[in-house]
Parts: sequence; structure tokens; C-alpha cells
Amino acid sequence: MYRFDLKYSELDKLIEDLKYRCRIDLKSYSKGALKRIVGGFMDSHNIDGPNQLAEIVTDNIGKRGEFMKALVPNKTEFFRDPGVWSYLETELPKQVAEKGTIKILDLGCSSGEELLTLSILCHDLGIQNKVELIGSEKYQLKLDEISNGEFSSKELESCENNIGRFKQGANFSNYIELKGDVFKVNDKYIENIKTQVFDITLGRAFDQFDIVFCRNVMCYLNLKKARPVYKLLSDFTKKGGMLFMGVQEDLTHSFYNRDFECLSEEYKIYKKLR
Amino acid sequence: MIKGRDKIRAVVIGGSAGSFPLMGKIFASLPSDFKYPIIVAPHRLKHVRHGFIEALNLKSSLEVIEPMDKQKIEPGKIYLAPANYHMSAEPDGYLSLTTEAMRLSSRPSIDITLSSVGELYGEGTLGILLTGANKDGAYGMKVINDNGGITVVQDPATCMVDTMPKSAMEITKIDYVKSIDDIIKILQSVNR
Repeated sequence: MYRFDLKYSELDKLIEDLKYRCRIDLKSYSKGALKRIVGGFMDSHNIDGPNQLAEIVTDNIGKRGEFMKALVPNKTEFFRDPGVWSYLETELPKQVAEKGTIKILDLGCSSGEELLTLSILCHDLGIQNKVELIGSEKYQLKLDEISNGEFSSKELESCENNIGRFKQGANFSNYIELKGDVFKVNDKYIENIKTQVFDITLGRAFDQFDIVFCRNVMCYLNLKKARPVYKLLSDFTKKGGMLFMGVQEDLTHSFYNRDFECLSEEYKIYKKLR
Repeated sequence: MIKGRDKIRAVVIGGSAGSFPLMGKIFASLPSDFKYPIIVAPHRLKHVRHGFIEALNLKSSLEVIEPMDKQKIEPGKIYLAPANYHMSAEPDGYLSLTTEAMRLSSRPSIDITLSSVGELYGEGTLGILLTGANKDGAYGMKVINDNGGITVVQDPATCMVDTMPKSAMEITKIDYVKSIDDIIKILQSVNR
């Protein structure tokens, strides 16, 4: 049973209710995506309607936490878009050789699949001590999932498929331990990751980075809220640094697109010019 | 002639990977001055990003696009859901491409595309569901029907695999059950 039939008018009322009752601000979301996220949460928790959802999220701290985690959709896969990782396999050693150490930010890192993929890649390249990896997300609860490093075993086939396309003969099982219904990423890949609570719709750039990952994050923002975030992407990226977006995202709607040169149209990799 | 054809403002089409040749046939038969956007969600392999759109563009007189996130929906263009993304029509009139979990083992999900277009265009929606091997799309057709749109499925007797249209017929009212040639005639008739 789907809950796609949650009406937009009901969603608007829920957005107001949650902001008023428990200061959860959902106005930055792309509405269609938010409707699916909320509907999916209501389905999986047997909640009958938006009014009941507002009451549960207000009154039950545990459920509120689960709801907040659900509001950050997973990026679903390790080694998603294998060509991106092939590009980095060449680029990362070059940057480390040139700069000594580099800093990478995964902005809106969700449950950490891409951040952990970066960590795995750095280890394989033997540059893990030369690369500082930072993941940011709006809720600490979501960032805690990265330090657990556990993911559903249902995702394994997809991970194996992706890594096999990235590098012939590579085996994802070398990086994990199977634990029944879940797999756990080996601790060494988690240990060198730092995390920071940061809301891209509210915050200012807290540092500058050689590489900024913001893949498949902007798609969850509505156009009005996305515009200021493009400035943030520019602010976070060092001059000469690189910005990675999702393969179906670009800088068309950004007033700051002249700050960037496109290095890969296929994988949406940009270099900051100024 | 179909009922409510004067109200049509958008066409949305779903089908499994096996429907690809049928989509090619449909697009090849449309005039270059087709007035409405056509939003298409086929089941497709996630790593195959090239070939699909090029092949359709060879046949179609309308431009076939794999849209970028937040691309505005315009008349006379065919928008094809990219591999490994869900594509939905947003209330502001643009397309959203997101990466949340697969639905019914599919990303793009036909249900997500059909239902979002049905909600955006209401009675101005013409929803078409072609051959396919699972239930994806059935719920989307229900949403189109619930919002006053017109629903058309490929006649199961003419399908390579009939699960998709039959599932839609089980859960909602389908206005027309037609062969591909008749579906093409419907599309040509709404453009007048």
C-alpha cells in the first residue's frame, strides 16, 4: 500500500504543524520528494494520517528521532556511478602529490555510503593519512549511522555490481564483514572519517575544501531553497578545488556557475576558477 | 475520439524494458508539432546510461530528453526518466530526479512518475501503461484516475508480458484498453 495519495494541502498543514509543535522545518524540501518520504514513514509505522503523525512526532521522542532520520534519504549505494570513482582514482594521488595533504567534504552525506567509498578508495591508494575526510548532515542521529558502519545486506548485490564496474576483479566483500541481515564496513575505513552537524539550508561555510561532494542532495531541495545553497557550494570549494554533483544535477540554476568550469559533463565534476 | 480530449495538457507513459520498441513506434508516429509534454518512465538497467535516448531520438520527430533535476516541463518535448533515478513532476511545474530506495525493484519507478504527473495535471493527464512484468504503474494509474485523468492500457492480449496492464485494470478504472496502433491514434487525436 502506498501513501502517494497524501494530498499536497495535507502536507502543507503538516509542515506548519511540525514547525509550530516541535521546530522541525520542512519548508526547504522539494514537495514531491517530501510527500513520498512522509508517506513512506506513515506506511512503515502504520500511521493513519498526517494529524496522527504530527501528534506522534510531537509526543514521542523516539519516534521523532526515527522521523528525523527518515527525512534524510539514503544515497542507497556504495560506488554509485563507477565512472566518478575511476576519475578520483587518478585525481586523488595527483592532488596529494601536489599539495601534500588534501581535505574532502561530503556535504549532506546521509548514512555515509559515498563517504565510506571515498575512505575505501583512499586506503586502496595508500593515501589515507594524507586525506582528511569530513561528512556533514543536518541531524546527529543520521551521522551516528556512519560510525556504526552497518548497512542492509540487501544492498550487497548492488555494491558488488558497482565495484565490479569500477574496477574489474574488485570484490566488495574485502571491505566488509557479514553479520546476518547486515554487513559492517571494516573499522579502518570508518576511523579516519570526521563528521559535523550542518544544515545546508541554514549554515555558512565553516572551512574550504580541495574537493566538495554534494551528490544527489540538491534534488531534495525546492528551487527557492536551493539557490542560496549554490553559493554555499562555491564558498566551501577552494579556488582550484573540485565540486562533484549528482550526474543529473548541474549548476544551471546557480548564480555562481561562472565560478566553475565543467571538467566532466557526464559525471558533473566542476573545477572552481575563482 | 476519446472523452475529455480537449482537457489534455500532458501525457505520461510507463512500461517495462520490453516496451522500449513500442515507445519507439509511438514516438515515430507523433507529429513534430505535438502540443503537450510527454513524460516517460520505462524500467531500465541502472548502469546503461547511453543508447536508449539516442535510439529514441533517431525515431522521434520530437526531441527526447533525459532531464536534469529541476528542469522545467515544456510542451512538445519527451522527457525520459534517466537510469537509476526516480523522476517526478513537482507542483511548481518542474521535474525532480531523486535517489531514494527502489520501489518494486525499480528506479525509475513508474508509480512515482505516473502518480506525480496525475496530481500535477489532474483531469489534463493522459496516462498510458504498456507491457510489463510487475505491478509497477498500477498505483500510478489509480492516482491518475482518482484525479480525473484519462487512463489507457495496452490490451493485455497484445502484450509481451501482461502483468502491468492487468494489475492496473484490477485496482482502478481504465478508460481504454487498446492495441499499440490504437494508442497511437488516440495520441494523434488529442493533438488536434
